Amino acid sequence: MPKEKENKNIVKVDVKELNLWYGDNHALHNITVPLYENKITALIGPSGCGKSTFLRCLNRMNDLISIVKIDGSVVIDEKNIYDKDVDEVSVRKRVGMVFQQPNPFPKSIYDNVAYAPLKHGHVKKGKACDELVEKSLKDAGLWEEVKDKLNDPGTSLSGGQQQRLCIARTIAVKPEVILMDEPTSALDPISTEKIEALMLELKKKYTIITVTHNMQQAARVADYTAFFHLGKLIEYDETETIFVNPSNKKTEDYITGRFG
Amino acid sequence: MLKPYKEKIETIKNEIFEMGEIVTHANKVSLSALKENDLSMLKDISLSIKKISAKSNEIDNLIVKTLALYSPEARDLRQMVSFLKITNELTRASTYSKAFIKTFKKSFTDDLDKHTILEYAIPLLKSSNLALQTSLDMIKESDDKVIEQMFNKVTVEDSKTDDLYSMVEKNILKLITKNIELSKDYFEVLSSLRKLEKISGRASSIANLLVFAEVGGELEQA
Repeated sequence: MPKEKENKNIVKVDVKELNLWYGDNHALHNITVPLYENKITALIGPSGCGKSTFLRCLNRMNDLISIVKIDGSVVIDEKNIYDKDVDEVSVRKRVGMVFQQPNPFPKSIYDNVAYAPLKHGHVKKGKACDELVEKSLKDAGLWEEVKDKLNDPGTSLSGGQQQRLCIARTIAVKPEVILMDEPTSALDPISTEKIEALMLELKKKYTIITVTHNMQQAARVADYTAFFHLGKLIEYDETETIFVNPSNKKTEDYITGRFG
Repeated sequence: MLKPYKEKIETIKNEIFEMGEIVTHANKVSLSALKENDLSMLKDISLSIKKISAKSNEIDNLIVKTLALYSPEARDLRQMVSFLKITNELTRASTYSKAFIKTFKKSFTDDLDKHTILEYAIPLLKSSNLALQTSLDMIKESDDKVIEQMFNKVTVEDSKTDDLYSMVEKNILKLITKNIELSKDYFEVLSSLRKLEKISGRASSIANLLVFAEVGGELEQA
């Protein structure tokens, strides 16, 4: 664990002894990791190592799977999101998520962004909503490209634009944490770079946790990197340390392509 | 190109430039000392090889981290590899510079024919340092044409130092034949001046590396 840095950074999401079972399959083993505010943390590891499962624990997405059993705690701002008095919808408002495949609603660009804030009652239709849509699209780096076609369907945009629309949709409800599950794996290099640049901008306001199979992406954008293997957190440290001097041989072997 | 990568490149460039400036500054003071015939000025030069090596290590580690984090390719990769080698060239240049100061200060006594030695030693030092300074300036340049002009300038100055050293060598050998008992001092002066020729050789190598970084081709060192 990056102990020295713990004093300098604020822990936003404090995961302690998190275990998860899919039926009898013990998928996550005793994960303890502090995730820092306004930092990008990348979760890396071979397929099936539990990184996406772990990510989904952070906004209780695994609650949707009936056979899943979880113990341990995920504390966000001193409140365990798995406490009985915590409603999972309120958790997902605070912890937004962007998925691998861009998945805009079959609605207009405007409605894609406005839908959740209107539904949650953050804004009412009219000027305030227009302003929120504009701001969210600007923050997602998409405004200039879509300002003249806000009524076009979201699905009419290119893959990269759709992903930025999904990011705009996520930040419109003002989350504190954004989870990204391989957000660029379906995108070309130019769109990927735009999303990475956007992530670097967004981290000024949000805490970002991203799953990626792209080692270079983790190296380029993440402040911290966590390496998972067989449901265990093998190593977690500053990205620079993980990619230059990892302390665990498994991490080094994975990063250098010797397994996985 | 992502902003953090751009910033890293700029930091590396600035650090290398600063490292080189330490050497060129020492050479400039040496040049003034020779021009004013005041070797006491050489005492004020603080060229710590230890500090230069530490700086070189610091830059090299920064380059390794940048390579690891950003996996540069093509021109970006050539640039990083060149930078890694340039720090080594600058460390060698600083060693030569220090050796020149130390040996020249010790051996350039009043018994020697100073006028004959300085006739070519001053332009030799001037050319050598101009070659190094120009190669350093290339680091901050991005225009291909300007880089080519600067490269040519470094090549010319390097060639000049070769010629000037040959002249000074010829003259010193003549002086030795006239006054054999001072041969040790004359040879030491000659040896110190040889270091200036070597500095321009390093400048030429730096210029080659920077052309490789910018234009591509095969990695070659002068």
